[in-house]
Amino acid sequence: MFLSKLLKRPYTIVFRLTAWYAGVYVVISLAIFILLYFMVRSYIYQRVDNYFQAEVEEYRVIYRSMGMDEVKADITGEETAIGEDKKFFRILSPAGRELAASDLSAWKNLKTEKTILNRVKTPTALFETIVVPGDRYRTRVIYAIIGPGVILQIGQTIKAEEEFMDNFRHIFASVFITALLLSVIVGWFMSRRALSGVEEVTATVRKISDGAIESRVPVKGSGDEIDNLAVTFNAMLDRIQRLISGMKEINDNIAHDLRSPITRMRGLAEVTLAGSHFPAECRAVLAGTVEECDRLLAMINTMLDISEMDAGVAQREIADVDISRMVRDACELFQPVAADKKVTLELEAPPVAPLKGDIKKLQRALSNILDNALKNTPPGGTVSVSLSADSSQVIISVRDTGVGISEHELPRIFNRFYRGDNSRTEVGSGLGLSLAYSIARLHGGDITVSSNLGQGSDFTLIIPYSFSLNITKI
Amino acid sequence: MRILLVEDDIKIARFIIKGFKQAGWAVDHAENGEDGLHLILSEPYAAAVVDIMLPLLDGLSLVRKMRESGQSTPTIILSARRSVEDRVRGLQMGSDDYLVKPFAFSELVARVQSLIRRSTGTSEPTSLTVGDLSLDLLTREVVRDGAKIELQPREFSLLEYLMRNAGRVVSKTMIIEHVWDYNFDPQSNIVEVRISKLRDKVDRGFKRDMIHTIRGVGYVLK
Repeated sequence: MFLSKLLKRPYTIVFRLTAWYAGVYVVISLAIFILLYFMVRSYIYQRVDNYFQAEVEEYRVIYRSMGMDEVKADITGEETAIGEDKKFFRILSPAGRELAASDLSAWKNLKTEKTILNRVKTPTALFETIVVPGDRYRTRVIYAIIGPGVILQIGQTIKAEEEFMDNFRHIFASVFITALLLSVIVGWFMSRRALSGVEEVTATVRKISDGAIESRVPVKGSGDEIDNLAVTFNAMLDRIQRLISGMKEINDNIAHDLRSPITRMRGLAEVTLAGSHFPAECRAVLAGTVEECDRLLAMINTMLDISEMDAGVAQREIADVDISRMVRDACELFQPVAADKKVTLELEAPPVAPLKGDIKKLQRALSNILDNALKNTPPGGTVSVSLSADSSQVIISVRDTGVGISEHELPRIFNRFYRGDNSRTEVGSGLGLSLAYSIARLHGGDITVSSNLGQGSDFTLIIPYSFSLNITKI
Repeated sequence: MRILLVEDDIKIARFIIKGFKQAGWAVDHAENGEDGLHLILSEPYAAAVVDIMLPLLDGLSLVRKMRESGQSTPTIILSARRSVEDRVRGLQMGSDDYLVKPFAFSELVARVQSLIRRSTGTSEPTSLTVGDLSLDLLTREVVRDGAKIELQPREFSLLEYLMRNAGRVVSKTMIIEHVWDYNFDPQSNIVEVRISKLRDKVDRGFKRDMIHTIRGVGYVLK
């Protein structure tokens, strides 16, 4: 359970690099140790066996030239010199009968298998490693024929060798664990260092997506991969910034170039309308001109507002806002419009809901959503506005019992100039919801909508309490 | 009363001159910034309307130089740029008001009038009277032809605004800005609905209608 969770977790590159680093270290050092261990072991045991072999050779010579008695005397001397608990000698017949032996009191239950004795042939000696009860270390035993019908058995504890190998293992284990820890730490540091450039890039991108488009990733001049990334990234940012500046310039030009003729047209029509006494038909044409100029202007302005907000270059006047009051004001504002249309406008809101935001923009967002709801609700219907807040955000829901939005229209209702099948006859530019959406995004929030055709729609405006207060200046 | 207009766009200048004359003012017109500065320093105008984009000397510099010379003529800046920064800059340079093109002409007239009123120090009235309709700003009582009219607070503000501009057309945008401290797009029919409710209370049952709709332009109370 825990393990599967651990495996499924999305790991950072730093973690993965560190794991790889440590893993490769473990594999390589274990391979080296195993190789070294078996080489040392076989060398050491080979030495013991060679020594035995030489000793047996010596006894063969003694037996041949001086007889059994000299062998016995020599055994006794050798045993006394080394210690009867460390080494033993036995002389056996091929049938297993003991012809002579050193002091075997320290070698409990020493038995000799008949099968082994049968395998002892001249001149090959036979080796065996046995465990003597009560002794921690094993004993190496050699069987060799030193004369006709005489088998010499020598046993010697390999304590020193086994101790050496134990130490070897212990030392290796402690060195291995220390180095493993070190490799994890070093690996972690190295990956962190290597990826610190990436983190700086991430931090910069985060700042930029919050609106600080003039930020740049620091270039260290080391010419490595991360530096190349930073340079490329900065070049891309320069280009984006140029594009945005260009767009802002174009916007300003549109604003200027379109407004001047509209100013002339509207002004001329208005002044003429107010001053002269033309026939009704002329007056209607003039009035129409002024009205259309106003619509055109509203569209240009709203479009510029949306573009500026989406490009992150809009000016925000951030202040403390009581959202509850704003929602109540909006309902009061739209109450007569609703009453005029015989639509019930309901409100549910807590007494206060403080927030930091741009009140003018939030008012426009909410009034556009409310306006949209009222336009799409037939007489006798209800529009209910509710305000709620949780620990991180304020949620304004506007639910109507209107015509609803079909499924294929839902994804497009926030597009600029999109107008639903049912609202083409209504007054409006098709920019209201698009503007509301951009305002929500500007505040780090969102607008979601759910709808059932024929039953109504539910628009939810979500504004978080805290969002980045970066204000872009180009 | 003489007004100075500094505007290089002849077509715009032409309708502004025409409109100002209809409002009963005399107008001098300069087509570039230097002529404008020369005129504004040599004559005591009641008010000046200055475009920002001008040949020879731009509108902001004109206002700054005029203030540096000690001339206090109330000035409105006209601009095609709508950013807050531009507005702030205009006011910092010493202009008294700032209007973004395209503007409703009625709004320009209203702003010039309010500048003149401010500079001549006309005191705030405590009540407004138009014909047989009167509105007391202190007791918040509205009486027409001796009959008391009950108004909701927002309706009171709307009527007050119309009465302050009696005889002049006020646009929907002007009403939204002055009566509501709320930003909504003038395309919604909020203002129409409010005006028609107000009309029900002020005009219904009386011989003469006072609140008139000038289609395309706005509303006028007379």
